[in-house]
Amino acid sequence: MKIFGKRTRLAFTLVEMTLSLGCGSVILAAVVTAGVALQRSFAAVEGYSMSESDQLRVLDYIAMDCRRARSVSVANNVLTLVVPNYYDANGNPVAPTFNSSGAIQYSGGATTTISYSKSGSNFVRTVGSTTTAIASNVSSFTVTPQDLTSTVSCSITFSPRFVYLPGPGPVAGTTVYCNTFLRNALARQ
Amino acid sequence: MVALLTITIMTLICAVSLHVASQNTNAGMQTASWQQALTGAESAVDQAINALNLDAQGSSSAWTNWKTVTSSTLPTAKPSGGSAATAAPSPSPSPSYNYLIPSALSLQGEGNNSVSSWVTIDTADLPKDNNGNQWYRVRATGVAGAPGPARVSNNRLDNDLRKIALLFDRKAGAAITTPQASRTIEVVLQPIANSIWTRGITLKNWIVMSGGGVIDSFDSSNPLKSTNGLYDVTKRQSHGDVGTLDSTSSDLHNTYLYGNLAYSGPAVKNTANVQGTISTPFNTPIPATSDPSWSSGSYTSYSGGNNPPFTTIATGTKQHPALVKINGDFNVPGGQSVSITAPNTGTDNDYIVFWVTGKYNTSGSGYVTQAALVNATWYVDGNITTSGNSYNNASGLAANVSFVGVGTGTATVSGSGDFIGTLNAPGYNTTISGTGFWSGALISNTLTISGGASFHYDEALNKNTDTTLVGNYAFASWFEDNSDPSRGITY
Repeated sequence: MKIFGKRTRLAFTLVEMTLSLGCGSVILAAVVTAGVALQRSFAAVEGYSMSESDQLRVLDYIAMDCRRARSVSVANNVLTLVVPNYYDANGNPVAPTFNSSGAIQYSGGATTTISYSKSGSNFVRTVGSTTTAIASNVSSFTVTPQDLTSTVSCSITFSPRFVYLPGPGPVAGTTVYCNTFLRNALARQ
Repeated sequence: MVALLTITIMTLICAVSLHVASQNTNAGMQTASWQQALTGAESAVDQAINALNLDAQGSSSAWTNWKTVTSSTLPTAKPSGGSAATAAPSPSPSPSYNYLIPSALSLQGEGNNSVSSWVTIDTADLPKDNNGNQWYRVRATGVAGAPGPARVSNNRLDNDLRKIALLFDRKAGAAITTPQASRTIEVVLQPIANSIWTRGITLKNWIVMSGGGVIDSFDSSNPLKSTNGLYDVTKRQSHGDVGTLDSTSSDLHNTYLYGNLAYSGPAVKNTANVQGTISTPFNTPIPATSDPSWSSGSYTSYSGGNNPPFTTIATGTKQHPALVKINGDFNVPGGQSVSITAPNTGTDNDYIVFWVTGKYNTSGSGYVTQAALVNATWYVDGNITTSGNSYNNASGLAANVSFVGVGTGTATVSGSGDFIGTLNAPGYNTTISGTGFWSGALISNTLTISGGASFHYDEALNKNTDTTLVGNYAFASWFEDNSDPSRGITY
């Protein structure tokens, strides 16, 4: 009589397989879900960061140019500023002199015209004939022409970049304001 | 295998997210540093103005910690060397500049925690005004560290605006070890004297203006804003400011005001042609006037009457002005005249003070002539009336003729001639009529301007009422250098 030796076969049992597949699926699902959530969160943070960056850039540009502007005008919601040329053609800073009206000038009165306006959904800064979009996703731009010899007031509204939010949904927009004193205004010299 | 792939993808996603978040944080830090740099530059300008103001006041500590360098060019990097400054920088032919490196501003927080700055003052070869007071140029740079790696912002537009120095300071032309934001501003300062004539017309009560005249301004000390020190309509300025403490019954009748209107009380009527701002409320102290207090024997007395008590009178010196008291009315009727002469040497050494206890009145063809170098002050206790060219101020400068109305009364300037001088009469009701003009400044209770008469405020009265007194320095211009000449950006 031949006695058969016991054959050893290593494998998972059906129960083990079922359990491991189930756990694995749950873990993968959790990881994928977390990944998607992370991406959404990242997209929201990125959108916020970009918007804030745009807002700060626009405010900084306008404030800087307004402070040093010799004159300011507003027409059709376009803010136009005239700033003096501080350097000569050779790139050397020039000394201030008086113009024929007794006001301070640089480079014999040479100036550069800078304007700000909304173009489509972009906010653009035009220097001479060169236009650069310095911010995007802009829904409105308003310049208040109150007293252009002393201050300029602006408001810019940015549309939200990340809009995939459950009800009530994203805010309608973010509005930033600037009210800048015209330190260099010719009218006050 | 699937799990490994998933984990790899997730790791990459996390890495990219962290990288972008890091970039955003870095850009935020750089933006904050750029703002802080302006704070540093402005605080340095403030220190320069403070030094000039203290110097104008004669303070011995004005230039403490400042150094002076003899040079006609300003440094582009943080200055060094030089000797301890003891006075304001000098103009050509031996130009110098003073510089200060203030203590760094310490901050607390997660970002940059120190802002340094440096500032220079020089004359920039700007001319002195007619009274010999110097204009100055102040150039200041603020530097703030930009924490984080030496990495440009993830948005090129930020780099165009803020020009953060990562490895190289383009202004100084030198390498740097840590990133930094720097901003440079340049201001031009003009000397401002203390004066009661801070505006053309200051009133306690109403102003009524009609006819075709205007209120505007000029600057007798600036040849670009006047001609030979006189008003020139082609050089008209728009600082003919008017202020009234109680605007009840005020009406400009749409006449032109080239300046600002400030009032307290009801709105001034018919202001369509006010070329400056209209604001309310208006508050300013108006000191009462009073008679001079002269000791016995220090002055000469005359008796007033229907005719002038003298036809010619000489001035004293600036240090010892002639003091003349006229008891009663001072009348100069038609056919008569009074001449005030300037016998002393020097261009600013002929001073005389009159005290009229009654009325001051010139009429018809009667007139008073004041020599060009004379500086006369009239204290009048009664009404003041002068018409036509009946006060000939040969200097053409309002600063040389001062009428002070004491108590209450009326002041009338009429006729076709011009009156050049000031009136400080807060209790008087003043009338300017005729076709001439008044150039100078006035303080009054009420004011009526009619008949086409105009009023031209002389801005020099506010800037320098005394040749040696500078009360303050004010911005004449303000400019931030955000240029990049190598890229053709010259502003």
